Amino acid sequence: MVGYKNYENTRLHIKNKIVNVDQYNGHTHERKQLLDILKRTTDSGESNSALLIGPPGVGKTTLVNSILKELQEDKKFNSSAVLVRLHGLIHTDDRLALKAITSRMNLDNAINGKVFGSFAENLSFLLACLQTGQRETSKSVLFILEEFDLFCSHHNQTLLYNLFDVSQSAQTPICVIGITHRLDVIELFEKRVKSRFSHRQIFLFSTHGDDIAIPSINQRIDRISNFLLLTNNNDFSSTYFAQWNKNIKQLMKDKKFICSMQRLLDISENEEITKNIMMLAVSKLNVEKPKISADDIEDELNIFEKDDLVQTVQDLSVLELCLLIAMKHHSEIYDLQPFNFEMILTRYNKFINANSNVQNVQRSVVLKAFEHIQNVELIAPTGTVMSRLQKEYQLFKLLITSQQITEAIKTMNGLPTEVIQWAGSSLA
Amino acid sequence: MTKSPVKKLSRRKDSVTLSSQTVRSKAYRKIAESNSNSEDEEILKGTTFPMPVATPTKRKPPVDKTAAVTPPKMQKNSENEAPLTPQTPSTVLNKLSLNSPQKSNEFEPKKLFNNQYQKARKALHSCVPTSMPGREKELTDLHDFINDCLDKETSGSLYISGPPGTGKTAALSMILEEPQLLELKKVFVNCTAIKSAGAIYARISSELNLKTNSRTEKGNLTAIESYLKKNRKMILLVLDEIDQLDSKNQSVLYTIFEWPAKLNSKLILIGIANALDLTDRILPRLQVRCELKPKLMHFAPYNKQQLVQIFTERLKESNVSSIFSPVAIQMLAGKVAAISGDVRRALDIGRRVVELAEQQKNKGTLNCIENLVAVEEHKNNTVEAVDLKQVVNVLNNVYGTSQNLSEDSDDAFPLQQKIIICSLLLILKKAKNKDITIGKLHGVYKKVCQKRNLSAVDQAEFVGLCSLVETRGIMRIVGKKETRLHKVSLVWDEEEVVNALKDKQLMSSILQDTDCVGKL
Repeated sequence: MVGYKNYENTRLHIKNKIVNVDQYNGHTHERKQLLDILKRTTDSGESNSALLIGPPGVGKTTLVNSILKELQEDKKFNSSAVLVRLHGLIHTDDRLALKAITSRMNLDNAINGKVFGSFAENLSFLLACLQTGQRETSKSVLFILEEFDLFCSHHNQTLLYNLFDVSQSAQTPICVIGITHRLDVIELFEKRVKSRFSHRQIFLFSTHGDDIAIPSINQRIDRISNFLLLTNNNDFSSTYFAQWNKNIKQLMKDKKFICSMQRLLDISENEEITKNIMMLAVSKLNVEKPKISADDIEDELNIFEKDDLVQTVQDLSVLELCLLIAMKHHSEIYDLQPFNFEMILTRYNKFINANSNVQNVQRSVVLKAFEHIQNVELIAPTGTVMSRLQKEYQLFKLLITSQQITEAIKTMNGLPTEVIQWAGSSLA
Repeated sequence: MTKSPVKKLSRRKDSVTLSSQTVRSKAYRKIAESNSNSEDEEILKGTTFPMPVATPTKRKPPVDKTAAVTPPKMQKNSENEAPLTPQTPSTVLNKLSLNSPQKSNEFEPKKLFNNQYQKARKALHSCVPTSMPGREKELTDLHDFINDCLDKETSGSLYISGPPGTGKTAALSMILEEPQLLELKKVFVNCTAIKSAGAIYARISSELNLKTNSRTEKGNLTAIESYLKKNRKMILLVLDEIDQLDSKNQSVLYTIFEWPAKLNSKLILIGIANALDLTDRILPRLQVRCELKPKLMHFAPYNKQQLVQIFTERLKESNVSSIFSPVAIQMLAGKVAAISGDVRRALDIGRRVVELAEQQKNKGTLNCIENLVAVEEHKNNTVEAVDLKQVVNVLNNVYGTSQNLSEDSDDAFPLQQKIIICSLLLILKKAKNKDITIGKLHGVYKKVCQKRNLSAVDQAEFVGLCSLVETRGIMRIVGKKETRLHKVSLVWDEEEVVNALKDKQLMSSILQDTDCVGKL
């Protein structure tokens, strides 16, 4: 089963390439700016602060990681700088952040990674350590704060105030880099924090070239081919290797493929989605399906674009669907007014009585069906739930549009014709 | 396991101030040693975050993530074996020797790049200056106030207000350094470094080296007050960012402001904050008794003339006046003074202008590194002044909104997001009903797409797109649960949106489609 091995290796190889993007290309200007700031902090002891802003998935963390990698290749860096990385989702308040900083800087009240003392003590101790540092002789400290906007929601923004304050005074050289996806992050600052921040914002947008304005389809396809082409020849037989790369090159020229990529690009410029779809397509490689075709990509894209609510509706029983149709009629007639169970039941009973060949069900069963619709969150109670109110009289609103219900009914199999007809006419 | 060492705080605090040098150098040595530590290197690779291990206290730690990663009982056996008895920070600090070892030259910065630009940047760094141009009057006022109190041996209170970056703290630090205040006991507390308002008492009592047996807020308070009754020496208490001491009924602020009025307390109290009317607004009871009323002093924002003065003086001190042309300084100062009058902002912009000038100059010179020294000399002889264009460039970067920034960087919206924004504008312009939900917006958007033979995305994707537009700050979505009912509102001005989209044709064509609105 040599062929089998080949496919397994291919899958592994490509997934590795997609997940671990090691080299960062594009944004050379921004990268240089950031590198300069960090270098000036470590080499000449200037304190700085900067914000790295860009939409989610554009590669902010990748950029920072690649810069740090470059810095750490220099032997001097490790002896002349301390790196402190904080994450807004992990360090959810200043206390946790301080403990992390203290243990990372190996201060004296951190023993074996444990930090002793209360929040106030740690803070005053940390500040004492930072404030007694001299510009010329201290190690510089690089703070990298990811999810920076979450740090702004801390109490009084104490941590940010103190970090920026140290960076504004002639003390230990520190550099504060914040990474966030919010463009209006400056508006979250308190005025005194805002004054201490150096207003250096570096924006990353989804342009991977330096002189190309719009993330064009050709660029996107170049990136994808980079991911899909096999690069090292060691794990594969040479014939397979050549064949694979030839296939991929053909795929890149395929009209259908280019069309589906354009569809993706219209939805979002975020590359993560493309990567995910590639991952899914690559995962399906096996002996029976030796190569990726444009149809595979399109299938994945269709799955991605599917409406999940419509699929939820398609899973309902006929009774539940009838109730949903009754709700839809109610919303159409009364212009999105909220409804309760009794109204829907009346409307449903009218339909039952008009069509003798649909079976009649008990009220309690209908109520069960109604509750099931509530559990899958196709309807939701309006406003506050009043406990005094019986559940039959609670007001609900529909969380799904009429178009979605119609669409779901169109593609369902084995529905009674009466139900389909009733769904089409809201005058019943 | 660990005693909360508040009792030892006073002693510890002392040792920190005495041996801060030692502490630091010890920390360096530790860092240097720990480079061999495997966990350390893992962190340096940037793959993991340092996880503080929650100390097992009686309180439950607020987040259990830490415990999930490294349970406290299962500690890795690292090379430096854990001591059998847990060391508290105070014991570690007590072991420190008081003579700091000689600094190695390892941390000396490279002097290679010390050119004119670097000097200029250093001069424009916002460290505490030696002289404060434009603040002479305030300085003399402060002098008079403190000397008055000293001569009469009475207590007094002063409240200093002013927007950030107007030199309030710098002025006070300068005053505190002066020789005639040496015999005075000085306490300087920045209230942002305090966890809660009540903790200020503990901080002050530790600064005054009071021996208290109780650790409560009340115990510290009584200790301070009894000390104030007994003391025979003047105390100068400076509280920076005093508005952080917000508490129930402002009891903390009232207590502090009432200290100077106590008999023979001999306390000079100076509070600093941003709000001009803090004492009138949140401390109205102080108005009742004359002796309680704090003297007010306001630091106005710097005007253009003062900013120009600050710049020229700083550059003159380091002999790099040639870098900035007077016109450039005028332009920069005028702009900052017109907007906030914040000197930090002005200095930051100045530094960035210098950077920009240096970069553009470096581009002009050669790129090879071998004859760097020769280039250095060459540069030092021909330092070009910053030209006006660079100043304007940086100013636009700082004060430009994100909107015109998007024009600069030419980032383009994906087509669908453009259409969403246009649909929103259409509803705002034409519809009678102005409260828009995501559901309504989606309806209009679908109709717009239909007209143009574009495939409209379904609702699940639409919500995602809306949140993407929201992160650009163009619109705001408010709501908790059901996405269909989230309220959408436009944050930017319509003109700005049109400019940012730059697709005037699409905009105008959609805005004429009134029948897409339907019966909204």
